[in-house]
Amino acid sequence: MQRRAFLRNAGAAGAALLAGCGSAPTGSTDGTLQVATYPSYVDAPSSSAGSYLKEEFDSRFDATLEWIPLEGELNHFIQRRQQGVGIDADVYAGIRQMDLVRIEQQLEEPLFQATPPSELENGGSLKDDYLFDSDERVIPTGGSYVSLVYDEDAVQPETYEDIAESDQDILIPSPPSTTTGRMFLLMTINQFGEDGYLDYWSRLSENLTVTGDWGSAYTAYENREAAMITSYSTDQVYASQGDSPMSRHQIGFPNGQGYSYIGGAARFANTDKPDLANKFLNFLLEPEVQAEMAQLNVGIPATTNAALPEDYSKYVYEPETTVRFSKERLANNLSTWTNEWSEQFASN
Amino acid sequence: MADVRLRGVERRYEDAVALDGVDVTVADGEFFTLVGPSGCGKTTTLRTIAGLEEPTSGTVHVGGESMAGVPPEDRDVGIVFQNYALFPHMTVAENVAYGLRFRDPPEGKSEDERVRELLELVDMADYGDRMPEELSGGQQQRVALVRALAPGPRLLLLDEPMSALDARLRERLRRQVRTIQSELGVTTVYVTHDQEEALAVSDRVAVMNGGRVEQVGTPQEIYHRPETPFVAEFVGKNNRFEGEVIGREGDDALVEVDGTTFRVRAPEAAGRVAFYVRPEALSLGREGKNRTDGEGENRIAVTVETTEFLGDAARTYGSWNGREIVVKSEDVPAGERVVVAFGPEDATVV
Amino acid sequence: MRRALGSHDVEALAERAAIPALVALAAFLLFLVFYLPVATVFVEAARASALFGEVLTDEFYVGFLAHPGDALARFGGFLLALLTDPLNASFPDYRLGLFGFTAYQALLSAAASVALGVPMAYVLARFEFWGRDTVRSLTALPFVMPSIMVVVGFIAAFGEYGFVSGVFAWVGLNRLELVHTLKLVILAHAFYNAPLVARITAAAWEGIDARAVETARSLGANPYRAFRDVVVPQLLPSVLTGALLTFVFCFLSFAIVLELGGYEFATVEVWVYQSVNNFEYGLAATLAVIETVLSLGLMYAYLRYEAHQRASRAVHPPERAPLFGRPDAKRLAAWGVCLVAALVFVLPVFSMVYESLTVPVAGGDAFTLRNYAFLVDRQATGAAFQVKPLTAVKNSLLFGVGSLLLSVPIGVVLAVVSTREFAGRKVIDTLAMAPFAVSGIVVGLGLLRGLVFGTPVPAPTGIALGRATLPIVGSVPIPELLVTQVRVTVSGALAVVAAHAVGAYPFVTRNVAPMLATLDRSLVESARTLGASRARALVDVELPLVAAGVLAGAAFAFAISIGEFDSTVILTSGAGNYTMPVAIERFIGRRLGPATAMGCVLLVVTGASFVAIERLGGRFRG
Repeated sequence: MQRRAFLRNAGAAGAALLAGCGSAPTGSTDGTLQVATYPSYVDAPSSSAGSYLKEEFDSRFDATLEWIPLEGELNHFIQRRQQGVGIDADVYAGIRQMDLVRIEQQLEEPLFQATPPSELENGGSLKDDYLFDSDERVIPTGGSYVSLVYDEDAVQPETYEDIAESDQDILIPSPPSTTTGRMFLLMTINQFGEDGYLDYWSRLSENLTVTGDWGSAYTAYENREAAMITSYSTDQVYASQGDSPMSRHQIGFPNGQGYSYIGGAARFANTDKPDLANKFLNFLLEPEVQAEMAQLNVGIPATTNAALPEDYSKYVYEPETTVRFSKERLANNLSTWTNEWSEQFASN
Repeated sequence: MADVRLRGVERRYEDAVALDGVDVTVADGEFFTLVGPSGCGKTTTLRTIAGLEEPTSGTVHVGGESMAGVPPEDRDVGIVFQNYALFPHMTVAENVAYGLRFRDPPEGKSEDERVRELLELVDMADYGDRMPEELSGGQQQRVALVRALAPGPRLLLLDEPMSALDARLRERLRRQVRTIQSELGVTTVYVTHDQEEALAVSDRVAVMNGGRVEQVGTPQEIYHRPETPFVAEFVGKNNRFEGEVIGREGDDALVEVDGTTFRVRAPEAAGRVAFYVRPEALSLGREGKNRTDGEGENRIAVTVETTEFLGDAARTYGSWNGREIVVKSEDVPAGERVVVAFGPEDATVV
Repeated sequence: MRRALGSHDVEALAERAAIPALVALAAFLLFLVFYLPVATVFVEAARASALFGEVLTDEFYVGFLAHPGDALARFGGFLLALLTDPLNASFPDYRLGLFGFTAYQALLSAAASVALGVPMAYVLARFEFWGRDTVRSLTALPFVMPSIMVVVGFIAAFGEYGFVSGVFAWVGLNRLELVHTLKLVILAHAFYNAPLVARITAAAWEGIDARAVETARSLGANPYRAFRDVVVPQLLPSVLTGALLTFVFCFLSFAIVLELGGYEFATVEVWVYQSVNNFEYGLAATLAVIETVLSLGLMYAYLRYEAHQRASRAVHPPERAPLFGRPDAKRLAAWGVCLVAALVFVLPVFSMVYESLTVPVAGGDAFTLRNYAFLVDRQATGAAFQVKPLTAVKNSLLFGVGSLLLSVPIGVVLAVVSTREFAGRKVIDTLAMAPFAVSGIVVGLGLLRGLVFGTPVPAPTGIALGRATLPIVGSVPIPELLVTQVRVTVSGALAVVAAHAVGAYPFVTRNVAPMLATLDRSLVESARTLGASRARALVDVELPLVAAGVLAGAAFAFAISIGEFDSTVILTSGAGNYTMPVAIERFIGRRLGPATAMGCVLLVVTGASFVAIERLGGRFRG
């Protein structure tokens, strides 16, 4: 008997075994926009922009915003693509330049489709230096700077050397696993060069604790396990909302430097709602929305005309020098650098 | 009821042989005992009949049917283990009734009737609601017995059921078992290492050693006419003499043992022979006197070493020419040397 | 007299088929939710087989073993130095490598667990006190706590500004600096595993015949010698069993090491996890394979030892003295053990509760209910995409019950199978116990790539009419089978239950198998000769007698399900059936507060269900 086999991508034909329903997002019905993101974007116990954005969006548009928080974050979609499984979301929120590097390394076909800012009504108000995606797929929605956060009663670090020579401890989330850690690593590479940064880290290692993720580092910092932590320069926005003393939330830029952390959103390449997605991206750039997002997500707006409260700038610090690496340089070197770093740091 | 027939049954393991060709026939309704020292294979034989072990070769027939491939629950056999194996989480009544879940009580009785009837049989009618751990050893044994009998099996197997009991209880219970058995007429195979017990209760006995059956016969045959040295020495106490036949006188052989000539009734003996004399066949006299208390043609002088007073008899251990001699007499002998005598008919050549 | 043929035979047939059917079901389930995913990982490793060589010869991974010749030479040099210049001879500084370090911390953890667990066993086995049975059943509790909760509790207890430090500071001592040290990691490992060691050892201790000790004494041995010569050799197998298990669990440790120790103390698991997230599947798989081979080997050793364990009580167990009474050397020692145990076990729990009810303000801590208010508020007003506490509790309980219903029969059946004699039994045993030895991350990785996203499987969709050319007759119409590649996915609630059951059934088996093995064989044989089939004998006689073990295993299985995190997080990603540990993780934010509150909820739920199940067992036992 001859057989002719039809290979069909299982985007539509997934058969659920054991009567289990698919855990991944199912095909969206009319009028629902599915936006995937990492969990703390929408579900942090302290504050997150998720609820606000949904309420606003739902009220303004004749559509429903459905958040899909995923533990696996972008990797979830990269893996689905690699396995040839369909992607059932329309937009992803919370994309950074390093994520783009990773996507390009792992996938042949782009994950997202282009959304030139010029095609968005509010696109013109985007800050120029926030446009980190030359392929114009990601619309930036907010940012911050990776910097030092420290306790001014214990230390006054001004330079990288101050940090290394201090008798106080510093917490840094692990570079191979976290964006924050990676960015600080890049700052040291920028400062000490590709041949010198490892030496700096070995000097740093005496009073350094590296944690698995940013959350546990910050929790430890809140529990006063250390006097310094690499975190975000907008940290005082958060501190002002809580009851932790401001003295423990001093922002420091070593040698006047801070790494540019910009997050954005993009439409998935195969979304069946490109127009609604466009409306969503545009909505994110509205002045009031940008203002709320900045305050809820503890960051700096991506547009020039965000309707921020007047005293907001008092909590926002910007470094003298913004450290950025190009996508090409990251693509060529980031894995090598993080591997070198891990092999040195975790060596026994 | 059924008979049991074992032919050429072997049970081999990787590094040992438990049964080395066993041929045994148990008649319908018979009380048949397998006796022998530890490791002789008697328990293995019993378990093979029960279906708890499969022979490596040979056949087992119960009631004329081959038992090959028949699992224990289908053999219609009742078994009582040495440790009784009462189900600790069930009451006495529930234990006895267990087999009735799978077979209807015989004679159309109800389950409750059957249980009551059996418990009465062993004088334990009021113990139905007790738990096994509340019973004494003897009581547990009785419950185990009637549990095995409850479904009316065609065959009853008992694996050293008395060995955990003290001597008096043992004697009493074995009589009870024997009585019940003859009343019910159940074919019974009984395993024990105690040869005295075997002789006391059985219709026939099989003496086993090293995985083989040495001799099968009635208790009297086993005792008085042992066919192998092992049987002669295992069953009861026996005195062994080895020598050379130097002459004949009719049915009697003249055997020289260490310089002494004995006259032994053995029509066909020749060359090197061994003969046995039971301790109770030896009569005692005192050396040096002219009394002829020790009757019998064969006389030896024995040096007394230890004596045991048994109440209704006495046992004397002595030596003659370096051999141990055991004598059973009415009373403990006085003196250090005695004359021991026996007649030619008291000796058995094996 | 035999019953008539008919329904009895159908019943009998069903009974005979029952055990093999259950074994088949167990095997199928294991295959689907464990072996297939793990095999996927191994296949990945095989594809990147060159990496094996690289990893095994890389000093970073295997330390001095990468250069064995060099290592030997240095050792030789050391020996030489010992002979010629002993005062200055120093042991060469060997590099451990990643695997070496992982084994090293596992060894220290096993030692710590034994050091803490054996004295605890002593108190449990030799002393009588109110609530002894409850304490005994609670020994299983630390083991099933999700690592995330232990992390939270330990930071709350031993952090520099935690509870203990607070007490120290109050009395004028220095604050603790334990967080992010290896010491804290080992302490946390002891927290997990010492109760297990205690439980196993106490059971063995109670199996020792007091008469044997008395005999030794009458032969002239003083109490110490009697203990050393009679008791210790009988305890040793159990202690070693506990130590072996502990070693395997700590070898695979991930969250505890990373969160309480830090990246500096990274283990192989950390590397696997990291590689997975960086899409270096080849490396992840290679490391996972090496890791699994090592732990499976140790599991095999454990199973051989387990045979020597005593599972039943001795006829004359050692007597138990009341714990409270006139102080003597033994009692003082016992009280000391209780104190240490309280510090290690009660303190983190207490600190977590404390932390959930307070908030640090200038000068101390203030009582507050706001963490719990957050939980209530989130439950009431949370959006659909947010994690809600009660929903998490409900899901956890449902999954727990489901997992129980699946894992207990499978575990019992496997226990029965493992007590049969047949060649290769130990190998089957090891494979059945494999979930112990394989890390959650490996399973998660396999589940993700193999089943969550689906495995393409050809499935027929219909028949079409095509044509074929045959010699002589020429073109002939023939039917063709149309096949499509269909993706078979396993996900959703049932998959979570299955994954939990797979992680839980080994505990049921390990609780039941030793009891079954020492069960009097003649009980089953009596039942068989009375007419019961093998299955009936199992149900009527064996199971009721090992009911205590079954229930202990069931309680364990339930608790394991509640605490499971690694696989659950993958399988519930994006859906609304998250569990309590997932909720705790989600609530860890900049502050510990909400997470500790959720942790307390988990603790109460787990503890209550645990005690409930074991109490149920008590009623069973009558």
